[in-house]
Amino acid sequence: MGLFLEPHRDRRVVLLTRAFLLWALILAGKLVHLHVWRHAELAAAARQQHNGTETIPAPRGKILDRTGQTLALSVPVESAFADPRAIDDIDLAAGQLGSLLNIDAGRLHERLAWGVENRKAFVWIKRRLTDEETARLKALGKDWIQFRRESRRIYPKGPIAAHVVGTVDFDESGNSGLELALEQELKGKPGVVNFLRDSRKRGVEFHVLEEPKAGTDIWLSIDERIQYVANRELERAAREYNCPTGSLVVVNPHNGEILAMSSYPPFDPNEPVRGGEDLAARTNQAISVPFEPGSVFKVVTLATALETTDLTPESPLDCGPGYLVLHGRTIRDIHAYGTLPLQKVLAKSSNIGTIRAALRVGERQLYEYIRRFGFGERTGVPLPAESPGVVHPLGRWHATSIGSVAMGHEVSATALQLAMAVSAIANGGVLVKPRLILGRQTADGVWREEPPVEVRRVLKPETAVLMRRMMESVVLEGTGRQARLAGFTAGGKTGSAQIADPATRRYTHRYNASFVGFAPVQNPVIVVAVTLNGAPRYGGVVAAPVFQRVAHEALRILGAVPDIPLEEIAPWAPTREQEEELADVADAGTEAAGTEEVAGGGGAVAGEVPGGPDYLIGPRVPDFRGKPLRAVLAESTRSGIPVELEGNGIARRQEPAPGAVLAAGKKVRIVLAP
Amino acid sequence: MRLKMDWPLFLSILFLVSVGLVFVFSASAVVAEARYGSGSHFFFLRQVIAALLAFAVLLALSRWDYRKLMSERWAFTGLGLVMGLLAAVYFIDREHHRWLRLGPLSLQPSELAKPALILFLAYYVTARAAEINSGRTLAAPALAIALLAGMVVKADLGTGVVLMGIAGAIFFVAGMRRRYFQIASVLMTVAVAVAIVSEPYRLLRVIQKFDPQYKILNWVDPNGWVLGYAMSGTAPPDTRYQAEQAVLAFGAGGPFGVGLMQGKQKLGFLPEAHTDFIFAIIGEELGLIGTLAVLAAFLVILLRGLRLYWSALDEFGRYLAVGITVSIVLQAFINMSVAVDLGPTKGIPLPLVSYGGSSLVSSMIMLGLLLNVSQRAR
Repeated sequence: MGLFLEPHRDRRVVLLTRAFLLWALILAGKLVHLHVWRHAELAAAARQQHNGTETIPAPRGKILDRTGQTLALSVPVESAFADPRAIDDIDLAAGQLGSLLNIDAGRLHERLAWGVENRKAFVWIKRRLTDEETARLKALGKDWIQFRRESRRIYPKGPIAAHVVGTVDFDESGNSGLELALEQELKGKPGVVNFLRDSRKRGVEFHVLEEPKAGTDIWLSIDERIQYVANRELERAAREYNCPTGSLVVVNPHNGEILAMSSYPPFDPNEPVRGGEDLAARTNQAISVPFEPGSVFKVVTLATALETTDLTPESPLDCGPGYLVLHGRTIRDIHAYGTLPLQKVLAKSSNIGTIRAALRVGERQLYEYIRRFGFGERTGVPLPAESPGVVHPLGRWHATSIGSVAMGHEVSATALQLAMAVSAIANGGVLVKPRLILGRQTADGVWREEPPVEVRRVLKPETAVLMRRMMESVVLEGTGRQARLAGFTAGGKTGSAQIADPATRRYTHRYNASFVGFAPVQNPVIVVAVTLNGAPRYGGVVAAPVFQRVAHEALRILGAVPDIPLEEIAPWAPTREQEEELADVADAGTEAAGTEEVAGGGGAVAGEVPGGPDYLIGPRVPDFRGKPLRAVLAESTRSGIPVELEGNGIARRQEPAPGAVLAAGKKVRIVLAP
Repeated sequence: MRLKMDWPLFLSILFLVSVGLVFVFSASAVVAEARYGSGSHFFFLRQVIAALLAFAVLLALSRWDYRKLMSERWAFTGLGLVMGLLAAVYFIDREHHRWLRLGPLSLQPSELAKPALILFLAYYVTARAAEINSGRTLAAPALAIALLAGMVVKADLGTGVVLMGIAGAIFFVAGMRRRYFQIASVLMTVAVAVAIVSEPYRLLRVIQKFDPQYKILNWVDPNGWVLGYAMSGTAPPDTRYQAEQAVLAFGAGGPFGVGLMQGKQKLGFLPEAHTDFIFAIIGEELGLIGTLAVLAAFLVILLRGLRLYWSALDEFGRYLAVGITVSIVLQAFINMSVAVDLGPTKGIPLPLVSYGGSSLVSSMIMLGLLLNVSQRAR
């Protein structure tokens, strides 16, 4: 069958063929261009898109007490995040997740919408889910919900030793206590993984470049059982006497091991900080907040007198008619004691007798021994925000300062400093460094012990023996009768320092009620320092019973052998008059004409606080202004200065002003505004 | 009459279908796993079944004498059937207007529009060859094409363009006057413009192809009305993404490829890796060698197909051959051009290679007829 081909139709097929061939040529050219010419550049871009590295978090180290009880540990948990771009209906998703996870649906919606708008592939839904929440989310089967393994810090003992152990922030970095101080050791070293990922940034193939190295476990000297008793008794007394703050330290005087360190108010480190929360509860009162120790400090004065003068416990001191005029300032005792031997001066807490002894010692030597006992410097306990307290250099002492200092005014100290100073008496005269960490165990199982450290010899052993005997008489017949222990001899000293009100510049009728003591007397096993700030009664009434109960339990727990018959000590509820026998108020009053007034009942003298800010003892307030909330909190944690926050944003105003002295128990009020 | 197998054509088809199966397996494994559970070969198994069916169709159609199709009955039944299906699918698949689902089977009527149109036009042009340029002759097919393309365009612009291409090629070869082409091209341009503008996401794709920084657009339309409209579509706003990812795939492949199954772009980076962008995955895993081989296979189909214009037994076979060849090659070239970023993104599969049973069967129907014509050629 012959086919007639028309010439113009032929041409058209040829044209069609050529057009396709030209197109094919262009395609081939473009393919060569992409495959060969741009190969290096595009392959690099593709590699960058396909490969990623990520860190594998290392498990954070544990914190354990001396008996092996876990105080802090980390457990792995899932956190959920969303790829907002892949969500079909954000309203629905936010509502559903909100009710499923018990979170604010409105705010979740806000964040998801933000993610969609800014084309983010990663928005946290909720971090650190419970197992149940994880299961519920996985059951939804949405592929835009993804999970990331994180770890959650758990404090199984809650408030027990919380101020020592500290807390972590949301990224599990320490932000207070040992968690902050030992951050580098606890956190370990994260590993590195190289992975091939898909477009949703999910890993497809993994190649571990570096294994994560778990953090070091820290073993503390804390005994969780003693700590529990300490917390309980401190809280009981603080509530009974309505004290805003208080602290308690139990140490082994020989090696400085801290067996318990309590701070009131307590807090639960498992609870995150909430807005408007009183952050004072998170301050470690025992090391961060120094206070005027008052009569407790007479121990230092009289130990110095025994060490450096020819005074003996039996040396008579003239306490005269109950007052003493020192460079125009009248100092009073509560009773007119006449002539008292040195031992009774301590037992009765005579202000005049103490000052007479101090005058024998002299300013220079008193100052030197105060410093040798460790006051005015940090003890070096490995906790953040430790205060050195205040001991004014000699050059800033006034004519009457020796009288004030001898009675524990114009100086300030922390509960831990007092415990360590009394430890030096209890252990035969050596100041030891407080030992909070017994040792560390690295992830490889290597144990490194933290050795006990002696700082310096403070007293001759014989002086320490005499001092212990004198302090025993405080418990047996003096202001510390409430501290008597069943089965154990005990020694100690009470203190009731009036608290100065910076507003009126007068001392108030509230006291820093303290007791620092040890037991048994011959070879002390423990030293306990208790202080309750803002107590309405004396240290012998408020703090001594706390010592008695804590020491009793601690000695039992430690298995100490009783050194006296186990007689029952009848509970003693002193009447107000009997209580006066326990009065040991260091007279902080001045002779400032016409301003002296005798307070009713207590017999204590409320007077005007002398002169300049030197007399107000406390830390200097830093300048918080202009700092954002985070920085304010960080500064507060670092310096141990409690703050009270109002509003949000940047600190605009603060009270007291920067540079002012912050009185014990007071907070810096900061007003924030965006 | 003893049939002589057209081996170059047949082997090219076999090569392309085989490459298609391998790459559907390679590219879809990740998506299948994500959608249907681990170790799923969902797409691959479906494609294997479709390929077996398609080969049966191919062999059957290549045996049976194509000249029996040269009748009004076949021409109009095919066209009518496809139009009926298109109308049905428009109402049944309310979302995409694309798929007719029947249990595990799903059929894409727009794919069948191509063989039906070719059959119809080949018949019609053969029957009216002498008076091809008369208005009466042209009115009916023009109406049919317009109707068909119109029904397809809403769901599948790419196929609409291919249908126009098929019709244009057949009429062009049949000797239609240039003036008609000028008129037709004006009409086509208007139609395509309307089609583009009617769907915001299509407009956006065109804008992003030619004016990715919106410089010209902002000058023309400072208030951003056009862009606002274009952005109002439901398709993802950066359709450039697909093209960029495809270009990365080709580049990453280099001259020799990263190796079969070793490609990374299919891990969700390149959307539609097993369908519209399968050519990019071939480029990544087999490199320039692979992409040129695929291009070459289509060139063999082109040359063997258009050769039949001279050697086919009759006029009907000649138009059938031109229509089929243009249909397959035009679609393939459009797909490849999109993949290498020479044209704006259109949802159009690579014939014989991409995943999709309807497309494969439809292509094999056409190629079966092409083989048929070829075997009987002089």
